[in-house]
Amino acid sequence: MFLVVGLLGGGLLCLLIINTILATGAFQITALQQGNVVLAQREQALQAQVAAEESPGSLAHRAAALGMQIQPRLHFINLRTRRLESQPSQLSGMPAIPVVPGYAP
Amino acid sequence: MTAPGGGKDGRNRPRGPGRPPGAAGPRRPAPGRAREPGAGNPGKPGTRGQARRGDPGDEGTREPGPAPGRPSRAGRPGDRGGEGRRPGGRGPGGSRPARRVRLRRPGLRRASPARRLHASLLCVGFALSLVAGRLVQLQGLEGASFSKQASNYRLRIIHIPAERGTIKTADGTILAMTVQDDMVIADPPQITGTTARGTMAVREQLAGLLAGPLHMTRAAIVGKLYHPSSTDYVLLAQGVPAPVGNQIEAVLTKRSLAGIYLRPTYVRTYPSKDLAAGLVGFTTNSGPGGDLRGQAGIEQSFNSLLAGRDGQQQVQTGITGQPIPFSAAKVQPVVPGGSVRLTILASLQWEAQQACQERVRATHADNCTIVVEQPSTGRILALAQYPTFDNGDVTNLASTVDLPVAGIFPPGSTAKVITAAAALEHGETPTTSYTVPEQITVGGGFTFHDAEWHPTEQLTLAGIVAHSSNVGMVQVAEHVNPQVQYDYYRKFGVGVPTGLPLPDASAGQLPPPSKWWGDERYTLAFGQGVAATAVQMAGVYATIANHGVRVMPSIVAGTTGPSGTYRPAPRPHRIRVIQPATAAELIRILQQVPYLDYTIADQPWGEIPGYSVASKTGTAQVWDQKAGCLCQYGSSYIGMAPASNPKLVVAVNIQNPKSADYYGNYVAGPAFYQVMKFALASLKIPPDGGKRPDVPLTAG
Repeated sequence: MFLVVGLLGGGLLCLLIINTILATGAFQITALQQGNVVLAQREQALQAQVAAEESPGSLAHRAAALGMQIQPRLHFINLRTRRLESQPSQLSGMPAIPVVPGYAP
Repeated sequence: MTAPGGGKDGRNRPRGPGRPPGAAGPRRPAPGRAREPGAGNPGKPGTRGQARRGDPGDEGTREPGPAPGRPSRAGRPGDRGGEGRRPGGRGPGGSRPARRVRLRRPGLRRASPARRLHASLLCVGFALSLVAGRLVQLQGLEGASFSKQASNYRLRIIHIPAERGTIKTADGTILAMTVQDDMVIADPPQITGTTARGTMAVREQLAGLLAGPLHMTRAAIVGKLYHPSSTDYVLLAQGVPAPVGNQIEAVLTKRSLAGIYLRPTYVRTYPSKDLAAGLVGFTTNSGPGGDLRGQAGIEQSFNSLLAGRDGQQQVQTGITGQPIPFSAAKVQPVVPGGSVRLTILASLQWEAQQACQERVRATHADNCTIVVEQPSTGRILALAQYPTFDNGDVTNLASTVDLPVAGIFPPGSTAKVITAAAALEHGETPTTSYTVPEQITVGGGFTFHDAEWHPTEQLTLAGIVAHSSNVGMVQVAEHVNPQVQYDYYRKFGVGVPTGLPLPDASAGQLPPPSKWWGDERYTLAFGQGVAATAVQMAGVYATIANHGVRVMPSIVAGTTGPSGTYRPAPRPHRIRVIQPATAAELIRILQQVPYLDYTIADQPWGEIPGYSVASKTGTAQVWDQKAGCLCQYGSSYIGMAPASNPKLVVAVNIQNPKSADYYGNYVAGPAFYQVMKFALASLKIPPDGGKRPDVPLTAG
């Protein structure tokens, strides 16, 4: 008799504890999910901002504002000869280049 | 109760065996006193029960009295025991007078117990059957609908939207992405005070709070509240960033102001603004908070991959909306949107767009397209156009046309290489000599002129192509069978779909020889009477650059599916169009063009120090719809570098320039030079020395 009452009582108590813990967890999950949504939105907004800053148009604009220019000549290191090979600044064996606005060889 | 004589006080107990029963009253209440009204033996509580049972005289005297509890007491075993101990003759004698008393009452005659039992059974049975019937009705017949009502009350369907995937360039610059923002809606009837003045004050206060975050004036907000679009709905602002929305919500909750609602919406943003806008396309929203749908470009052709599939989840929720654990049942899993990676290089694309814009402004042209292609892979590295548009704010549908793949134009002199290639593979050589007058009349009396007057010259086939002589090409075409010429056009990809996954990609216009006009075989020799797209013309030169093998152009490098795995695009088809020797001869001929432009026309557009460039100019006559004549021009400049082993092809086409000089080298050349130089540098292609082979241009 005491055994049965004890078992039943114990079982009920355990069930109550489990339910309470789960319900607490559900509340916690809901709260965390809401926090997650806010954070995800912030991440998205920041991502969009980074993408906008990274776009070539904005980079070019910022670079120009800093006075940067596109490197007019290319330089390569030839690993076989270990020499610096540079792009010539003038066309070889050609008459002098006419002055044309926008063209800089 | 705490009195010294109280029963609970243990120290007093030993003293109280002789206490009066009144003091111990609470412990032995009414029954004792009721049965012993006389309280005849105080001080002897322990003997009370014995006295009751063992004193028959006491029972006997009470029997006739009006004691209602009596008959029931008779049923008690203890009482029976008491009776049993009575002397035999007195027991029955004591009970008889009681029955007589009852029988004397009038009209209270008991029916037979069996009938009484049956009747009550029937009554109870009937009542129970009613209950059972109702039970069957509720549980059985209408059970389904009731349980549905119950579950509707408990269950909530959570709509899980699939986020639309991104479109990126080959180097990872985001061209299109999805962000969530908020729509701010007001319900004016909820924003009221008790009086008109109070309403005004409440609305002013609300407007003051919202004006800052929404970037609106107070007056504008108040105006919207007083003039809503419908009685209880007015849209205050949309596209409000989510963090700002959260901030507004917090302020409103803090001040407990009602009537302002935030509705989350998914919007497509194009962070790189108009970068590759025509290629990417745009999306429309099926409604506030609705699904995004691609309407042009990659957004349209990859719509189902990008969109994914929305999911649904059914959960039981508590009163505050939080799901009850273990009650969730997934109805439909969400399939997240995949993403598309293009072959475009962001910086090169931007440079090409800048060049296009600059040329259109300088020459007051209608439009400009630039295609940069990698000949060995067919990858399109830039697909630029001007005018362009803002994908995020489409106001004019006509401006959203993806010109490089959809716009067709007569290619003009840039197509001369096709007929020249056919001639070279059918008996002619680069040094085959032609007498080229200023004009020529052929076949059925068709007369052709060169673009500018010149004395009669002895030109080689190489010279005809390099100097771009129409009269010369007409003579070259006479050596090529029309069907062969048509086949070469098709093999080079003109008049054939490009296979690009873009909704409005055009195949160009190339009528078959059976439908040719009388002079079409001659006009085809210099690129008139045929129409091609910018991508197709870039493909012609990419085929020559790739040693005669045409690689189908591709614009998508790969896709990332819902599972997150990247799948590269399948390898494009490769078709041999011309022999490697023919391609090499054509490249050598084309290398003369920048030199001629520079030395004869003072236009060094194709020259890049250190690099050998092979290119071709083109100036086509275009039909003018308004004037009804062939009096517009389309100027192009297409070339490859380094010519010794071409790694890049750049094709520039500018339609309807209104500058005094409308020739391809002047109008389109600067854009070619600018983009090619930038592309060589950004792809780190080393210079090849820039040597120009000697090809005899004149004969004799």
